[in-house]
Amino acid sequence: MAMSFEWPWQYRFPPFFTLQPNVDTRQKQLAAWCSLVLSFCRLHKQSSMTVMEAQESPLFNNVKLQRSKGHLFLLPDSSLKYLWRKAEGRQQTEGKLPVESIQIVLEELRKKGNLEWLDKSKSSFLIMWRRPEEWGKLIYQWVSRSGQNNSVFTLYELTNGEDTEDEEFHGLDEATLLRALQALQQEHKAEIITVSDGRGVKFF
Amino acid sequence: FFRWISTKIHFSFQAFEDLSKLMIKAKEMVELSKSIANKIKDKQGDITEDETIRFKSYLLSMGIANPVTRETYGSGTQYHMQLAKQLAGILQVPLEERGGIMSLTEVYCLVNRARGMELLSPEDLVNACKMLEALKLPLRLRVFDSGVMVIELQSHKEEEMVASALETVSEKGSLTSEEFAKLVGMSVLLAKERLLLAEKMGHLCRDDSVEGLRFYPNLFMTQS
Repeated sequence: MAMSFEWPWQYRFPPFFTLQPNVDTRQKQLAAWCSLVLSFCRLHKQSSMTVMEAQESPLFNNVKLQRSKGHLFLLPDSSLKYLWRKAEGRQQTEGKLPVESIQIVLEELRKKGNLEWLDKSKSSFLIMWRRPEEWGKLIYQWVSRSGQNNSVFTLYELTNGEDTEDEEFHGLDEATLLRALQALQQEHKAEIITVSDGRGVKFF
Repeated sequence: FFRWISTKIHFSFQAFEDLSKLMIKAKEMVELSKSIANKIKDKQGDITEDETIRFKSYLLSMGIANPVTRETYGSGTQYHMQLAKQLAGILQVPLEERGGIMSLTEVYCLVNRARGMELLSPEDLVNACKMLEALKLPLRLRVFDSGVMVIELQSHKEEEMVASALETVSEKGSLTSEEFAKLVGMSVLLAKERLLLAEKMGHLCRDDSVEGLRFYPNLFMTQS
């Protein structure tokens, strides 16, 4: 299901799968991991995951990682290539980020507001490629633009209604939507209410 | 007798306060300990054995030779200073031949092989090496983060060697410590320390897998 997902150059760089001891290097490495996780989940429309799934996913496992010796070139299209001067033994090995390091990446995402643990034992999590506040802002902008302040919507209408087809938040999963609306609620720009068969929201 | 002793001891404390002053007073200190030893021998009848023992241990704790031993230079700081100067003489050429840096174990083997007899203890070697820089000798002791101890020529700049290490690693794509050691003609121990230093400085990064530890140019920093 890799589809047209473009892996970043780091994914082919073996050190990417080792947690770097140098603090500055680690910072860059973690930033790249966070970015990769979010874009991966965005493309695959994955809004939640378990840690077990993560461990098995190609996200943290590059089964085709090459560790062979040779001069490393970073091509203009940002893909990483090995070029060999002579035919040295090509080793196709695995790049696997250890589970402790996966936990560190997930914690980084949580600190940035893109991840929320769904249970106390931290076995599954919600992953939001845009933070709830950012979604809230987009939704509210649409509401204002279309002059629909003081209107009431069901959650379904917002994410699956015809009116929002062109909007980025169209198709957003309910868990993330709720958190986006909660963020707006905090700013007194919306109120989550109960409607006939579920929940809805009123915008101010 | 004891008043005489106490003035001499006060004098010796002054000597130990300042290392450079000690250099000057060193010869006098040796003379002093010898004269105390002789006095003890002479006064054997006037002092109790208990007092003699206490007195000897007092001298030892100040780093002065046990009055009863016959070492040329004693077993205190002065000995290590002399040794440090000797080491500077012995190690200059071997260091130059080895690119300016040697591990302390290499030094230990080299020096003891040269001596043949009256071998140095590791402790004495370390203590002597600790004084190299203070004595302004052309070599110094350096301890890496890992705890590995090396002797470097003062003129040797390990940080500059890192730049050439980066070049070597970049040329080959990636290297293990063993591969790097072989390429450059260094011991694996020192090769690893150089690569670790390069990593600490942010020039290299690591790939730690079942296949071992490899170092790569730090593309995390150089590529945006």
